[in-house]
Amino acid sequence: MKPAHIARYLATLAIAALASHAFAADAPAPSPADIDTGLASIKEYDYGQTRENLVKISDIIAIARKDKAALAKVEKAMAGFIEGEASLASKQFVCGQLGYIGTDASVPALAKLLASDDTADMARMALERIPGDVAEGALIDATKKTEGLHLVGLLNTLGERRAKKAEAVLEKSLKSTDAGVMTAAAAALGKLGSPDGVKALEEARSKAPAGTKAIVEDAILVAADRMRAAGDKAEAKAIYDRAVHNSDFSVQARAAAFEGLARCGGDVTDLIKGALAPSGEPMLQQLVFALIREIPTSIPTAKAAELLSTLSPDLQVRMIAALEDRGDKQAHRPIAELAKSSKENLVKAAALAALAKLGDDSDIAVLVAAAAGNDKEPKESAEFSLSRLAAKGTDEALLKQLADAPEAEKTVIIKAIAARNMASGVPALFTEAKGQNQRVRVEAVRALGEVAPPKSLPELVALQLATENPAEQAEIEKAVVATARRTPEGQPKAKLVLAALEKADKDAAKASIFRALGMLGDPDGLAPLKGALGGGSDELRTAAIKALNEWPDATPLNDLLEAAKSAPAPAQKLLAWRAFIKLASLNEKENAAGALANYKTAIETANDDGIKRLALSRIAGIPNGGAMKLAAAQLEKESLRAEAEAAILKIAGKMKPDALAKTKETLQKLADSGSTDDVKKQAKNLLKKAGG
Amino acid sequence: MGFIGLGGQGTRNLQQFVQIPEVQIVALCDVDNGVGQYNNLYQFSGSTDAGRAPAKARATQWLADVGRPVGPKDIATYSDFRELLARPDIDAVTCCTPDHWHGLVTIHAAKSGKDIYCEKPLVNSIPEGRAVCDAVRRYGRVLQTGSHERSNDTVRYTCELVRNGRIGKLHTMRVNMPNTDPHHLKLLENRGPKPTMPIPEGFDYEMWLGPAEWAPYTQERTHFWWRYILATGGGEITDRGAHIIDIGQFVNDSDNSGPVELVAKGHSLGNGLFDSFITYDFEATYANGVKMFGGSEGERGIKFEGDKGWIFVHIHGGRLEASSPDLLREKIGPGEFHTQRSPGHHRNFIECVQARRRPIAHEEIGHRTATFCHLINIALLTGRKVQWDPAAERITNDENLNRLVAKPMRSPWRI
Repeated sequence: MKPAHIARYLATLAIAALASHAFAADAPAPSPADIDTGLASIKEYDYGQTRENLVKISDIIAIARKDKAALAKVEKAMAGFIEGEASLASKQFVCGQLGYIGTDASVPALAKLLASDDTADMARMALERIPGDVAEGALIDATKKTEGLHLVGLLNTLGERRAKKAEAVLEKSLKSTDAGVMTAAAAALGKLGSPDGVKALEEARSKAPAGTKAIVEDAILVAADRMRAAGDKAEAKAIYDRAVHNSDFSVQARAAAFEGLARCGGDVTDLIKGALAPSGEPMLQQLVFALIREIPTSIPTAKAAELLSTLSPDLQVRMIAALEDRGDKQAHRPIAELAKSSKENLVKAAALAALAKLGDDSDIAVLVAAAAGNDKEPKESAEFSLSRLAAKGTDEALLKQLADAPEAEKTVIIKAIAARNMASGVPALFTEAKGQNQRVRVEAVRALGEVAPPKSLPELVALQLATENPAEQAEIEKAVVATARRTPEGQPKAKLVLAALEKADKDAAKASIFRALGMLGDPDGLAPLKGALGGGSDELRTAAIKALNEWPDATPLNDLLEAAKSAPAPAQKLLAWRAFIKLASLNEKENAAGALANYKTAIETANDDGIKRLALSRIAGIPNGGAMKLAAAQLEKESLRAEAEAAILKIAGKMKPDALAKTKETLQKLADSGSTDDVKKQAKNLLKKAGG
Repeated sequence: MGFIGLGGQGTRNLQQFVQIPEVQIVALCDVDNGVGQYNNLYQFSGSTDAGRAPAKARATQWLADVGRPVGPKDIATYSDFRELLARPDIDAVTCCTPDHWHGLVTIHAAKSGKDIYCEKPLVNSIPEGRAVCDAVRRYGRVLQTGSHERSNDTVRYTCELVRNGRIGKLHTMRVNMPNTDPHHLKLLENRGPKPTMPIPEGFDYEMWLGPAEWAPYTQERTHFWWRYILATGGGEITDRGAHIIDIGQFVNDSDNSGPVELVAKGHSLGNGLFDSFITYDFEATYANGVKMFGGSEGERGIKFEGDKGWIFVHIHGGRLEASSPDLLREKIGPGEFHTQRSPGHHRNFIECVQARRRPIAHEEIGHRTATFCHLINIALLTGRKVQWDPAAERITNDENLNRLVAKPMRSPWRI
């Protein structure tokens, strides 16, 4: 189904039946009767039934929110509803709405529901959202009358609300023998973030059973984080200090304390050194690199960089990454040293990559040498850094090194010039493109294709015409095309190439320009190619047909057809037919009938079975009755039969059921007398789909 | 690595990580043993093998295919994620559960010292997202959000083109999130009542429900279709929004913030289960004046409009269209803005685990994109304008709306 069909489908099938939400923005405020009627309609609502009436309640609330008095009436009705007889599902829905608009007025009704197993969660969830002391008081009161799972829920809610008044209740619950209650109280106390709460938590931690200790430790650190965020860094720091130096705390908790300590703004160099020592715990080591990356005060860059030489290769890689992300140039020299001298490929690669951000022009030689080397990771990193290094003087340093570099380094530098889009490198690239070394020449031509401005086209085309090696000439043709394509929009892209054509005197040179014109596909370039189809040398005619084969649209279709019919050489006819079929296929999606007509022309007019088979293979991609008919018409010709059968099966396989049903006769023919058992089998399967 | 949640996407992620030689797969976890449940629900989308037992069989086969065969005891299976997370030999986990579990599993994993690849949307509510970011920071973990379109080279290129001014000054982003896939059409046709059903054997429904408000079991409440129920997902807004809106956040340099104002309108299905929105329009404004217009029509993707041109990114896959072909041939120079390159979303995660770096879709990114999506749902549900303070992460114009920012949890679950 196409998107347009789907859109219509949505419009007709669905929208009318969908539920609106708060759409009647200009409607008058509902009367209390609206809400009463609405609530009455959902009284027996059960899970899984249509939500239509629930959505109407939401809409009434949305409208009532514009009028305080109306909203109060709605709230009152809803509070009354949950106190009365109604299904569990409807009460759950109304509790949810009270969570959105409820006030102190709803609290008594919700509080009553806290006492029942069925309704405790829904009422608590609503109260969690209703601000104010009344709701908080109701929740705290309820903790005194309940236990187990519901008490856990209440403690969780008090924690979410950061209910300071609940601190005593939470501290009491912290001593519960019920592990669920105890840990819920601990987590809630952590969220409160008070010094007294932390004191209680630290006491509880010392007595906590193994299974609960981690939760209490996390709560202590959450509390410290809250204090730090609230500006009480001294108190927070004291908590972190106690935890980080207490080996009885889990490594996770010590990591969190370590992180908190660093975020207090102090220098934690000693802790970092300890963590990175050979005896350091992996989790603390992992944390260290996040601290170095994100918290500049955690350790001075110079000190962190000094550590590099003391670390194992794995940790060196991580330290380099952290320092690179920190972006402080003070790390440049130690990292550059590793880039130059590390024996470990991964360390070297990390250091070379970091130079993109931290390095300067003094690193060019190291980067070029690594990029010209054979070790995969360092080579890739160095190439990356050469393309990205933005330090002043980099371009000049690259060009300076290019002049006298050996072949491997020259190609590396030329690639970097291309990757950096260095217009200042164009003269040097032309020099290299005219040099003695073929590999360097080819690389320079490729780079010119990437960076040369259109005004360089005459020089580039001159190079094209002067080159006799076909492979090199092909590279230059690509560069010419890429450069011409950079001509600003609105200006003729082929102008400078056509100017060169006028000056070219040899057919080989003209053919080369034809190829470029074909790839470029600029309308101005079409006339000389068409002209060559009808006159001139065989070589130029062939080149023109090949060029038109590359044309980006179907404009020269008729010219190619004419060439296919009347070109003097059979090989040129074949080339022209192939180009004709290729260009005919360009509009296949937009105009299948037109494409089909052209394929039919090829089948009926071409003398070569290969061309007919090529056209049949294109027909196979058009899943309609016309294509099927055309393919079926070829079944009688033995030389085309296999392709015709394949096309029929492919077309049928893609047809929609209603269209497929009209092809039964053709499919039956294949099922009865297909050239192979496989063809017969496929045809029979398709017949079944077609209802035959 | 351990794998938590083995439905369609969980299994696809498992297959991706099998391809990475450094990853040793040692544990799988799902609340469903995988016999029957998933098969009934996935049959239309062609993904029929999910749950613990089928996932183990597939992982075993995939590992054999890549030349790292395992024995029957090499991969353990669990029905409770906490048991898996308690294993000290596991370095990293995936979290591919339904959305309402993402925050809880991810925070527990961070506290347990695991690095995490968590499916998008990162979380099911805004405070959950902040809590995830806090836990990842506090415990020094690495987290990748599963919004994998970020790893497309074309998305990176688009970001670099726009941020380097190639389309002039960006002023408008247009998001198309159509509901026209086969599963959407099935959803639209699926309008009847959903009666309570007996819980299938081998399926821990109580654990599946977890923090979501209680509701009785019916098949379509659970696997795959949970995403269209607001208690457990966010509909298309969070499902595809977490990809498409995410790219808008990225390109507009808003990965640490979000819109400041948002209006939306739409329709939900209103049938027995699915209360998320199926048609919608929204308009969001960023502090820098850039607007994002979104809707449920058009070709899926996002268009960036500047005063000198435009670029459209098709989703999925990242195919680009532009106001001029020349625009897509532009080069980004060494002194210009470059963003992180990704060798593939899963590979990027593993590389960052090894190097202790922040992945291409780290926790703050996932949280901020999810926040945007949740704010759209809040605006849709209430029909009210949302003014948002991205720094304080609060709705500033309507305290009642602010109440909807968090989702209270069923006991005993908490963030």
